Amino acid sequence: MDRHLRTAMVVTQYEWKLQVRQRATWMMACLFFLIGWFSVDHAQLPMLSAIAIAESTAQGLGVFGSLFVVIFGATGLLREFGSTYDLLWGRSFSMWGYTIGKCIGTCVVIGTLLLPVGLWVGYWEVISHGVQGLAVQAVVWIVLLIPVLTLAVAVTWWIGVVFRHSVWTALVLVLVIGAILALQMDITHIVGFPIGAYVSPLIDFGPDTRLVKLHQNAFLVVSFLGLLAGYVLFRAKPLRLEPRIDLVSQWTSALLLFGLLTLLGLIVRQFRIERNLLLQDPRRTGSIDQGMESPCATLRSYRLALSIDLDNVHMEGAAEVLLKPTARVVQFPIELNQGLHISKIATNPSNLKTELVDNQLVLKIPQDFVQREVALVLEYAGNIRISRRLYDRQFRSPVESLAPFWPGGYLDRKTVFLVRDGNWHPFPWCAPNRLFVEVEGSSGNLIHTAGKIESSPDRFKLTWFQNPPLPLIALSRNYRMMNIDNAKVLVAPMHLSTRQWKEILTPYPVLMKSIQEYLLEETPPPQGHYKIVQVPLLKYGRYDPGLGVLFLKEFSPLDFLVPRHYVSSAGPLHSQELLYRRWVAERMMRTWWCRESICPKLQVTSSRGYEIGHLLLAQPQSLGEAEHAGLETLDALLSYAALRLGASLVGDEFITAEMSARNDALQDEMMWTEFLLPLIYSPETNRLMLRLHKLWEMVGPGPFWHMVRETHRIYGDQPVSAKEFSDFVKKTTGQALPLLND
Amino acid sequence: MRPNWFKQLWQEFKVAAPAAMWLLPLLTVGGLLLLLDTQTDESSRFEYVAMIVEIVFPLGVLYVANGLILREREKKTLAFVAVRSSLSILWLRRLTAVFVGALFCLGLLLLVYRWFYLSFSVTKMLLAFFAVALALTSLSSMISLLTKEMNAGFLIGTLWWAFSLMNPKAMISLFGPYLYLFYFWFNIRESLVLDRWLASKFSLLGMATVLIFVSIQMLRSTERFVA
Repeated sequence: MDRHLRTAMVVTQYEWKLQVRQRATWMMACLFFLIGWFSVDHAQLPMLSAIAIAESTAQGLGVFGSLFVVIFGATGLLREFGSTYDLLWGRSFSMWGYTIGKCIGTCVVIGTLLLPVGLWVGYWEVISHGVQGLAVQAVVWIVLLIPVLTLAVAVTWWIGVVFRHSVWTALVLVLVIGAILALQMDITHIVGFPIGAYVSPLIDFGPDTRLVKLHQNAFLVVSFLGLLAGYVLFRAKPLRLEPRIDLVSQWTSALLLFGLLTLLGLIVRQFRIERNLLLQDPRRTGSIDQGMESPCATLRSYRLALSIDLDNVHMEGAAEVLLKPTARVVQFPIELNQGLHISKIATNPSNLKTELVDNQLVLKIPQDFVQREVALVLEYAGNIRISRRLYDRQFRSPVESLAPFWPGGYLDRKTVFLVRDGNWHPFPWCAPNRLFVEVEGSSGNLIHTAGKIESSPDRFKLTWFQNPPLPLIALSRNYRMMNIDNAKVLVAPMHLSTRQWKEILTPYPVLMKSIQEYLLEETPPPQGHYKIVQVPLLKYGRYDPGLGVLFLKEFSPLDFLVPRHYVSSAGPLHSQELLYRRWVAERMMRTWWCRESICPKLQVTSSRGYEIGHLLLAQPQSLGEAEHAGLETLDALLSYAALRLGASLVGDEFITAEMSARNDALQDEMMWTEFLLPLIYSPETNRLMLRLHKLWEMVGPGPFWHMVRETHRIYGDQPVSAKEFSDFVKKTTGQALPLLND
Repeated sequence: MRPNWFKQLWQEFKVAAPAAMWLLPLLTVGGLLLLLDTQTDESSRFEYVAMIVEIVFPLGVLYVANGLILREREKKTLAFVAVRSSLSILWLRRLTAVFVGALFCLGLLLLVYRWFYLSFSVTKMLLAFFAVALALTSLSSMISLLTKEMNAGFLIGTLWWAFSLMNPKAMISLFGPYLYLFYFWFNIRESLVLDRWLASKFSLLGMATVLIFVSIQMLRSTERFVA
């Protein structure tokens, strides 16, 4: 063993010393540095999270680095196979030691070459995020980059021993890797195992520990496999005078290879099992969305009581339902999160028989109690389970990206948030009449919409006496509370300056005030500050105008950046600041419109959209044209109303410019790409918006806003044809919707 | 006695790039697998042919042509050949031999494609290959001669090739459309017009000429044995 170890160490040392003296090696270090440099957008660098910086550099280095490692490794690993090294092979030495030493030596050299770029990334991590950024960088690089590069070394060794020629080896591997990357071939679909690792930071989620560990172990096993396979091939056809592999070694190697392959297969299988478990949609089959009738109309009363224990990450709930059955057998669909389990069902009268069959609650009612009021209490407990596809973009489909967040809540030791429509209660599509939530934990950094709060040092109780609004409660010890103008804001710590936060958040309270003024005639204004909280996992905002509480959907600080090339042009429509406010107004208008229940078809602008920075307001072809049919009229109304709602933020010049742009876009489709405005690519919407603009000029703001309120009251999120809308406008404003030629 | 150029070129080919003796025929035979493609869409077929011509073959040539002089330098046997011939002439001769061989193999393959796969101009495709391969080879050779290491040339050549393949739009915005390597392949893939292909290929040839000139100057400075 000493001999093997000594050989390995000597070979490693020799390899490192030889390589670092070569110019090509340091050229590779420069290339690594350049790749790391260009992997990051420098304009956005100060605003990127620690993980984002480490991840983007690791991915760039992994992609191009694997090509370099192959070239570099092929030459270094096969150097002694050249004819001028016959003297070396004239005497026997430890083959194991040599193989391992060569590979480790190559890895050590690659590590040395990554130092310059690693130091540069580390510098930015420390500047932006402090010393903890270094730890994040180390973890992300170990998870993402090191496995890929060591795998490249192992495969290069293996293929190199087959060809025994550095040029051939490098050429074949470069072609294979180049083809995979260029053709964007996802070979992971073939085996169901990702080549790249993943990081999903969200509240306290962090990386999925178990899956990442399995993934890393798989890479380790494959690297060993490559080493062993190379060694076996090497010994099977030895160079010159070293001894051939004996029978015992052959069998040992074969057994080892078989063992490693089996281990790899087991790891991949376990990975797939665990990943499938995580991907399971907590929504069960037979739910209300699959065409079943909503039971809400049959419920005379629906009350909820929830008790949340933050420290133990546990919740217990009781859903009390009053109904008047009209038949002896009554069935309700139940949709409860898979992390929550019904522990008890109590009925009054007690002789009612209940049964849970799949997702249906079946009540068998004695004849005497038909047409009489009966009560049902479902007690449940557990924790809200959130499948990975709901929070990790890597696993969710475009449709899932836009679907509402079904669990409607999240709970861990430091954070809890709840929205009304979520499967944390058995009938998520029914609004409860009364809600009572008790939380064991401190009430610091809390935003809620309850009518009453009773708090003590270690617990607090919230009561909603009437129909609770969509946003309910958000509490997070991770988050940061601050005051921005007349709003209290609770946001994730994103290492932004106060000025940057103001830029991002200032439009919201202004718009909330405008909504209060123009759209909520009979609702009294909220007392005190507006409250805004950024809630992760939500796809759509939830707004309670009565209490002035806004739950903002998840966003990153880059959402408000428009692409740099875009802002280089002149005019209000190319102003980063004004465009951002315009889009915020669009979002707020739609959030208000859908404040009673989520309406994804309207809260996504249309079936096609544009990006501003990383803000994706719509996903191409994800909703489908058919699903969006008939909503163009509402789209136009909402978009124009949003423009007027945000008039104090964008200015009259912007409004005039937008209308002019929409008029131009009717004549020339190329204008669609010129402007980053909502729905500018839809001729129908543009036409309607121009007509609404004329209407505004004719009737003024008062009748216009009255028309908007009435449209919301009568139509909600239902489709309305242009003709029907035109008649409605005449009825509410007294003025016909003008034609474009007027 | 008049020199037998064919014999000389063959010798240079065998000595300087022995890997090419296997690699080029292998790539040619491998390229015949494209004939198994059954789809009938002409633009897809053209894209695949462009892939072979602009992407695969030039990479192969890059790898065999990079070490035409430097392999012997690294083995310390350069002094023997330098006695008989100027290094720059030797290098050019070897480069010519490799390219003649590559053009011959690729020409055969393209003729087979023309007869059995797709109708196109073989001359155009050969010019496309020649421009790309010469540009890649000249750049990597220059870097190799500058650093006196073959690996350095491999790295830079592969980087340019890989980046052009994986991120064509970034490369075009960085270096302009005329210095983008894979003009045919990219334009066919994006369904763009191919009206500037000649300008693109001549730009690459122009760049290659400049780099070859620089390489020659570097080689001349290392001449020792030729009077």
